[in-house]
Amino acid sequence: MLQRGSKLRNWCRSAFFLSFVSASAGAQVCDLVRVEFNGCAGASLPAAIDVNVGDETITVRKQPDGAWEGRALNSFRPSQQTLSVDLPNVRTTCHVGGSPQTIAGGASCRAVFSVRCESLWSLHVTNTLRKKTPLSYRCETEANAIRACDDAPPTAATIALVPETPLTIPPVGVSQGVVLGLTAADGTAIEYIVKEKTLRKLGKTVKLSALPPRPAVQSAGGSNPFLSALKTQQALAFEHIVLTWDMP
Amino acid sequence: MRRLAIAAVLLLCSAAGRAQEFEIFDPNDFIDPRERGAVFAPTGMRILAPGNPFSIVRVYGGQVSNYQWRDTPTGADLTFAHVVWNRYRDNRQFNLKLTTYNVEAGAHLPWYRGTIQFARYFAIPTNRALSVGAGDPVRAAGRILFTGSLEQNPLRETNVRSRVVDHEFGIELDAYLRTTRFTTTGSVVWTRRVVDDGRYADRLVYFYRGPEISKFDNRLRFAANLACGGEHTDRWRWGATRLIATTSIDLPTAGGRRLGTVNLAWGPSYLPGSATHRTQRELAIYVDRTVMAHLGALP
Repeated sequence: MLQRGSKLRNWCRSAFFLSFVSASAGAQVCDLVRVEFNGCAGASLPAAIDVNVGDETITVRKQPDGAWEGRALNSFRPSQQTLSVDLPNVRTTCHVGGSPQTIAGGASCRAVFSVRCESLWSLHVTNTLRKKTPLSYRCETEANAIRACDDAPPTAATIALVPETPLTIPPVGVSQGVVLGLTAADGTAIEYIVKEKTLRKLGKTVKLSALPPRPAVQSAGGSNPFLSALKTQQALAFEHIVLTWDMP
Repeated sequence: MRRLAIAAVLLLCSAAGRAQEFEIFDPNDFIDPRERGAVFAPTGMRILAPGNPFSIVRVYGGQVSNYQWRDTPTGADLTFAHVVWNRYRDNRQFNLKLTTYNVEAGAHLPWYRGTIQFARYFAIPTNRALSVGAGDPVRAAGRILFTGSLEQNPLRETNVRSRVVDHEFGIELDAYLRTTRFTTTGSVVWTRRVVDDGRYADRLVYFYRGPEISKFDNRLRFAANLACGGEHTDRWRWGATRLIATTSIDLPTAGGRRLGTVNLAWGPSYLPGSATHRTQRELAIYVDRTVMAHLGALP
């Protein structure tokens, strides 16, 4: 019983010490800012980037270890500030929270911001025949998609695609797909989910009929070989739709 | 009370899945008529626009180890060929299936089977005043499938039964159900086959199918079905469970047409009625190919 009481006392002391240490770390005031970009290693990011921390704009420069660092004019508590950044051709998470990190053996600290990012890509849809083709498009956003501050994903729209005017869908992140919906003359609906990863394998110019359409309705049947064969047959009506893509 | 009974039936068939796959190599052939452009009337049973008719012929061939014949493990290895013709028109579907087996000498198995199926689809809208097209929400949708099949009597060479042909028939309900809280699909199958003169075996099975996972631009696919149910001969024996896990790899295309798909299927099962062979493992490797698919014009 006495031993158990002693153990409990030691545990309480440890918990108090840990909470004290973490509270003091959280309360630290730093002026050095470190930004780590995750997910867009392929994109060539500038050597110097302006980031917004609270109301202040700070220029961070690329370091040999792959992160960007800069110094703020005014010291701040990292846990109380968020960072936003606007980069060309890249989508980044918005209002990223900071965390303090002690450096120089605890003598000073830096605010670390870990920013998720991804490259952008653009889709162009061309109608190679004279006939107008009704086409709808929207951006498919998955649950873990990056929510950017500025470059909003394309809103859903329906157009009549004509040969003279190819459709350019505003840039979306590489993790996102563009949902293209077509309606045949007889009312049959077909949907495609177009992803940059898929198009990259197929080439710079891809016929829409080369992609597998997906089921258009919610029902008791899921994907099966019979439905796939039907969708392939339906897709033949849209061989005149050609896709091209680029990374802006 | 009637509403409660309907809700109970819908709930019973509301976990996920599509049935009909008693054979390890026979996939589901469900195509909602709205995928063909059909529009259902607000009642959900009739259609206002028929959609394009669609016909398809598919062939299958391969080998099965420890073939499971109608929930009965045989321990036999066999090769098979299977041809299916499906016709989808309006809110109806018609299937013709022919199967032949090359069985080991002494195995009590049929060497042919013919199956006819007829299905009628339905789609009940969330708003009972509106018709249901491809983009419209539904409260429930699915089909009811009637099956009749004839097969060679597996005991024809014994003195147990002298008939040449056995028959089987069944009813299947595939349903998608959407409530304010959840959305789900499922299948309930009842079949009856003759086991002796004037005696039948009944099976009641519930099918659950997990989501299909695809990789490499849909060229590699994984799917799994889980069936639970019971069989009645002298009495009901419940708890029979069967899993069919299938890996499918698309072969390359030649001349614009796909050469086919290679499938590897694994079917472990648990049979409460058997004292000595309660767990079984069925394995199949087979190739399938669509030999004809025709999308008709609107009538």
